[in-house]
Amino acid sequence: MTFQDQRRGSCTAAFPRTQHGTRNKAFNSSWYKDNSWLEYSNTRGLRSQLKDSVPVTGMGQQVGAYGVQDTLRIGFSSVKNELLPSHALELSEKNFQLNQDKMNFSNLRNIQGLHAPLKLQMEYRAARQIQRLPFLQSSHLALDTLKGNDESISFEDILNDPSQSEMVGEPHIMMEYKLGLM
Amino acid sequence: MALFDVSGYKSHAGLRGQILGTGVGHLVDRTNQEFAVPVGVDPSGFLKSCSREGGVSIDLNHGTTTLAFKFRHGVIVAVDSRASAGSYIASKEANKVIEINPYLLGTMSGSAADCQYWERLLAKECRLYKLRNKQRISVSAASKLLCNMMLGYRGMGLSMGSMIVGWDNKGPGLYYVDDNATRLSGRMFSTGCGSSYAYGVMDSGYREDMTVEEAYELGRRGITHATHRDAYSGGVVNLYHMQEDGWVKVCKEDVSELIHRYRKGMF
Repeated sequence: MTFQDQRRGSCTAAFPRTQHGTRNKAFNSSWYKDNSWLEYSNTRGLRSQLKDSVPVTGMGQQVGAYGVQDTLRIGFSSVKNELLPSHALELSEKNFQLNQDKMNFSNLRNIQGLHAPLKLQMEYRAARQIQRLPFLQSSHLALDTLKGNDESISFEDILNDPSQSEMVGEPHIMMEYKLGLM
Repeated sequence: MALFDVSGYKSHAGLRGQILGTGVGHLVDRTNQEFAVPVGVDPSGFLKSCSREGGVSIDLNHGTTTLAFKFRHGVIVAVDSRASAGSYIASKEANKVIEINPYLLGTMSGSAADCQYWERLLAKECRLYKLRNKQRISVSAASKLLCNMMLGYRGMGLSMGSMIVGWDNKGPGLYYVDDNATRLSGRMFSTGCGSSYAYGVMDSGYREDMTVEEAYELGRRGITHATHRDAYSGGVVNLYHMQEDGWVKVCKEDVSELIHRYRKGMF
């Protein structure tokens, strides 16, 4: 399924009006007849989550010996998978928590005023900084408590647990990167 | 200070640095080369929508003929030299063989831009291999590198049909690599839209124990007859011979003169 909206058939659908300059204009379904290459996509929000560049093969950060990436640890690379979602819902599911937070904060702002989400976000930032050194595993307890995740168990607690990962970062390099010395 | 962070305020100096690029004394990061792509566009779907009649039409024809075959004394590589853009002949002396190093050659057919870019990248990787490992890369490994590059970009609308020819310590090597990441080792290959004509000539005249001169003649004939019948091939025949101590460029002859020479057997 391609990312571009496959709604060419529904020519009678009314397209929403959006602001263009000083007027509100909408897409016109008769344009499909004149231009066979035309596609309509009203996913401006999700569109910003797509990538607009790919690293050239062999020159990305994952280059190992012989100029190719380490397939055993990183897996096969497919540019098409990186650029385009394989399923129409992939992007919205991947960013579900992010979009949920954005929606909640904007609702809060509309109801209580700007101070409410601002204060909450300040707390999140402070809690996010409570971590152990970069190469050690941190519990993120304060952050989880604020977000309400401390009372629920889900997939990320059982699968892909960072305390059981096979690879360990090089401590000195990670500290230098964190302190900005690299 | 937390409010300062949350509001995402960037001071004037910070913004200026961001807009005008990297700061003083900071070298351009050459290791992070990237292709810019249009967001959310499927390239092969877009290309398919462009090849319809009546309106925008972008035809990518594999307008060329290249051939290569192994025989007792090495490998012969012969290519034509016409570069076409639709029905317009863009160049009559295009160079369709890339000389990667004195022991490796790569031929190009398909989209000229794709072939040139990816084979130059392959040449760069072969050179880096030699510098890192102090020995020349084998033909099998070089063709595998190109094949893996194509595999990463599969489904993105690349168009490239290439033959990697070389001589390493396993002897003469001939591999065909495709934009679908097909990689085949063989004794005789021909690519491009004139390939069927070239195969006919090669198959009827090939013997494993040919002399060097007979092999040159077979390569020349293959390309000449293909250019005679195929509209998208023409120009000159570039002939290379891959020997144990490297490749030599044998000749560069105009097809129209060659076809007069072969006239005897044709009409």
